[in-house]
Amino acid sequence: MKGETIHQKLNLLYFQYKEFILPCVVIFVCLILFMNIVLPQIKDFFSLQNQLATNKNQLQILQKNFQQITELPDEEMNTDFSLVASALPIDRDPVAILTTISRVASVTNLSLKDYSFEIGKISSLNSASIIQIDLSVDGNIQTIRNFIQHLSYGFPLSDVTAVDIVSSSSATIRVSFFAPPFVNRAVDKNEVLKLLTADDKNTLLQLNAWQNGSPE
Amino acid sequence: MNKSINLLAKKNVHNGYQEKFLQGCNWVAVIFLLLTAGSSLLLFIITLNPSLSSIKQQENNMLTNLSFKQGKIAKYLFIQNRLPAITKIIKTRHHIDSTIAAFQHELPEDVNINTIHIVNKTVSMTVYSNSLVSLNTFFTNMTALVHNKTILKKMVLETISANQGVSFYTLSFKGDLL
Repeated sequence: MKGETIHQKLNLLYFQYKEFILPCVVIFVCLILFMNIVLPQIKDFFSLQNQLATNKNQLQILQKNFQQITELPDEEMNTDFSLVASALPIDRDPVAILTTISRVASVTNLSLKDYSFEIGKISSLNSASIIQIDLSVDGNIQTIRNFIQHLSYGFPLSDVTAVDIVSSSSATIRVSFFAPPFVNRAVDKNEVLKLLTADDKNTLLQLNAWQNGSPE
Repeated sequence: MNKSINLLAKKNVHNGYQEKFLQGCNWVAVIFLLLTAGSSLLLFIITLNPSLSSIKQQENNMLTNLSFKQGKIAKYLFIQNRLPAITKIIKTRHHIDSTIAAFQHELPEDVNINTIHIVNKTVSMTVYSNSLVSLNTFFTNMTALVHNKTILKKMVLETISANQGVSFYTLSFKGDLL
């Protein structure tokens, strides 16, 4: 009896509001579609815009890098590369070191008595990049001074860290030659190739002058 | 019969409200439907934008072009890596030759250098002469170098000795280089 009453009430409500069912279902479905389809689409749209901006930026950087590299004259680049590589080699090059010492000794009329040095493991990235050589030489103070001066213009670059002149006629000279390792890395797509700074260009000029035999 | 009783009026008002509400609901439903379908279609069309693929294509072309210049780029990166290191070495290395030259410049004619030992920014030097006056001049000159702060930071006179047999005087000092 009670169930029948509820059924009748429901029927009554249905007949009273049945026109509302369709719009309500449509609104409900639309809301679900909006949440599940349109909102992700909006999210995708913004991420696409970001990606587009990033790609445009990358393209600009690549174009700039390409332009910069293309504009650099090949010949000048090769000359600079050889110059820099001989001034500061990647590997510890004993032959280049001995050649420089002999050449400088010959130019400054210094008599080399004996010298010894340890090369260590060649091309090892983790090993020390400095080779120390103790040179025993014969010559007066002026000659020794010239030798040290000329050595500083020689390649590979060196640094005389200690001098022990005895009786103004012989000396022991400690020379350090540098060969820091070079880690080759690929060009980053997001990184603009930096141009050489004024300091870099001055250093190149200085190295060039030294290579051509001018101390200045 | 009581004429103030109205049996139909309330029902009509109620039906009028319901109809208006229904109309409103229909409109809202239609607007929702149009908005959802329209925005979805619009966003779909926008995301089909061909400029991204075009940019990617250009990027790939540029990367291919750059790969042909790989050797040149490697050389450039090498130069770029080495030059600051070279500049640092040139700027920081010792200038022992100029230090010796500065000491030689301060030597009077009859004073000679016997020994010079330079290491780790310290110098010890022995000079000799047969004239004490000249040795004094040299010492005064060296003291001026300390005062002028050009080469030496500090100087300590260690010994002055006389060798009677060959009649010359020896002066030795230690100092800290700037």
